[in-house]
Amino acid sequence: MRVFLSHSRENSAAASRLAQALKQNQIEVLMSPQTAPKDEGWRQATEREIGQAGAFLFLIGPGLESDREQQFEWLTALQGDPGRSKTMIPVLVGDVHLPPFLRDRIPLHLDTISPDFLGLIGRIKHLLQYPFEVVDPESYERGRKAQKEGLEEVKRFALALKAAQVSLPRDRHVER
Amino acid sequence: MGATPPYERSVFINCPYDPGFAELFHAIVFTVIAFGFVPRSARESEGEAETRIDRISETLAQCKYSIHDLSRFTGEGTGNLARFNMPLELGIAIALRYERRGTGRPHNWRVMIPRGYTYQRFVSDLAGFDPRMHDLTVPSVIGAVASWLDLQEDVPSPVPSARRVLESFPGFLAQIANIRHDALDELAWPSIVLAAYRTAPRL
Repeated sequence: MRVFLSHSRENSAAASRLAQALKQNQIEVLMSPQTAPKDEGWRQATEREIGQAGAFLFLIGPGLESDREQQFEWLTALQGDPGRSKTMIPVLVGDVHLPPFLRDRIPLHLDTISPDFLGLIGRIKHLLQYPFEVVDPESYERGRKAQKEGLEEVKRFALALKAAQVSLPRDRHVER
Repeated sequence: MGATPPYERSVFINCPYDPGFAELFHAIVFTVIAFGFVPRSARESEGEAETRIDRISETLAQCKYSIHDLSRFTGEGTGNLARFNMPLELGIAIALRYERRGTGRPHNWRVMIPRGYTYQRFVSDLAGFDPRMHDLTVPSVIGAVASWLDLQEDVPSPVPSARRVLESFPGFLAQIANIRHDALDELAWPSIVLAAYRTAPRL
């Protein structure tokens, strides 16, 4: 299986070492290019690599909020997998929070000072084989309840608007 | 106007309202609701006494998030005029983001445009902001909205997949068609929102 390894520029070194360890364990790794290929831009090259991946490893470290490239990788990965059928495994570097779209996942950890690549690779291989084990049932349940609450908020607001009789007569006539 | 929904759950939708875009507008609204957010729009306050731009600014200011579709960037009609309302509202959202930085009440916006890189010619200031691309189809619009919302801090993760949202969309459209039929071709904003609430996929 081809695995796309997403990482921030700040974690490039850790990502390279992890990619090397994965390759040594017969896992094909795809990554965004360090520099844009001559015949296409960085974004097109990244989209192509992500499109070829069957699973994703998200290396999450400090400074990701300001990393536009990693945000682009996430958006592209999510938009390219509308059925959420591909395995998504978060790997945390240091004391960081999971990004929202991975909150229902049980993260793996990479200690950059004394990394246990053997243990980490073993866990990744296992999760690629049994992808449901990466989902945290408690977080999933919390998400389900939050979605339900959100939908009830939608209903309350729409009913309040309706009660206030705020409406637009005919939407077919609206131009902006 | 009714009770204001929570700021963190409110998404302002700024997009064309013309009949040619109606299905895509409904796709945006439906996806926002399926993800547990409350869609806000200029349409919700039509008929109120304030000027339109005041009403829009006020509604936008009540939202933590906003989605701006710039599909209608070309000139239209005999005068070959472009519509400036959507870029204007995008400008308000960008100003909100900067004004509120570090205030604990941030604003996050996203631009959507038709696929291609033409935007770098008609709105080059957005270069580097990675607008979400779609190809003016329902699946691509749902995918673009879903992938962006999925990254937002207040999304109730997990959420239904974009594919599930797409699969539920015909049910929403059928309800809208019934409402429109029963109301002799009128379609009020609260009715659209309620139809989406009823038909949105649940986890």
